Amino acid sequence: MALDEAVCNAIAEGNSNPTIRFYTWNPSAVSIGYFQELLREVDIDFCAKNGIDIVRRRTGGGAVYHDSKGEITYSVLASEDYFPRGIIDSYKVMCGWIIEGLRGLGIEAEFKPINDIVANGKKISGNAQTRRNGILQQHGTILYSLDVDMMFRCLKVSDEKIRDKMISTAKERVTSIRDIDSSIDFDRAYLSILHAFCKDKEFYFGDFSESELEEAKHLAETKYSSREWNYWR
Amino acid sequence: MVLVERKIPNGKLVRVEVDFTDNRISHLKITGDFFVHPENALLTLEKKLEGSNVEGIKETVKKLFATLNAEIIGFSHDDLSSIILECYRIARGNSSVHK
Repeated sequence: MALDEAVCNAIAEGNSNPTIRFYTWNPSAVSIGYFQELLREVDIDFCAKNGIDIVRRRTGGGAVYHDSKGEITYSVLASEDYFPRGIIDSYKVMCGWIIEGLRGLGIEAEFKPINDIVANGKKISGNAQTRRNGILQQHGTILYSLDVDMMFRCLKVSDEKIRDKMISTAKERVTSIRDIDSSIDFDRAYLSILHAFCKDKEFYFGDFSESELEEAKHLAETKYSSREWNYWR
Repeated sequence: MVLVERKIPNGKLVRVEVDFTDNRISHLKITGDFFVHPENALLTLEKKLEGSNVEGIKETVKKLFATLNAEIIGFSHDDLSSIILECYRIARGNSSVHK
């Protein structure tokens, strides 16, 4: 979260180029949407006992369990001038890259407004976007493998009696790359997605600059790990 | 404080907490998995609704949405005013207020 914001700031200041970033979560974590109330969404005791981080995003959307081995996460950070003005239209552009990456794996998927991608009618990717200071940040996850039980233990369920039902419903509604084709290993999935994101773009592989990393560290310590930020709603 | 949560069809989950003083909103908080661009417009919306009379809330919310200069994705002005009215009904403990 902090690195995304640091890079956005650097782009806004003219010090960094548009950036596409892929990452995984270690340890596993729960992220919540900017407008969600943390205590209503997340079982903070369960997360603490199981070493699961919790962080609020600066994008809207829902709470997500990020399994350390279960997903490919990306961020696109660039001037909003590169994208359609309409929010949904710009989701379509970037979600199109994901759909193309999945197609490279033999998985047919489609964009489902507002911000999801579905395969076989089940959600395989969730995405969220913010635009601040003229810079667009879209991040999202592509599910590689699924641990629905863990997901529901981290997240709060309004009525405990229906937890089992919600888990079985979620299993019917959510899918992953491995669910669809268990022969696809993580690296192959990642490379296909990466290839689709890079296609038709001038790009180079690079590292984050010292100043981006320094600001990210500062933001991680002072903002994203702060009670003030994570409990603001 | 009254809380009403609603999953908007083809939209997002919206949770509204409201305190009323007589028939006016004295405090309001909107949370959920929706999107607001720019994000700080949500706090502006909450602040501007404080002090509003429940009578005519539909028009008030509609006007606010039009002047907010923001894009809200996941719920409409009608959704929000309908939830506020539901909160009011619960607060008053009767069902005499029209949606």
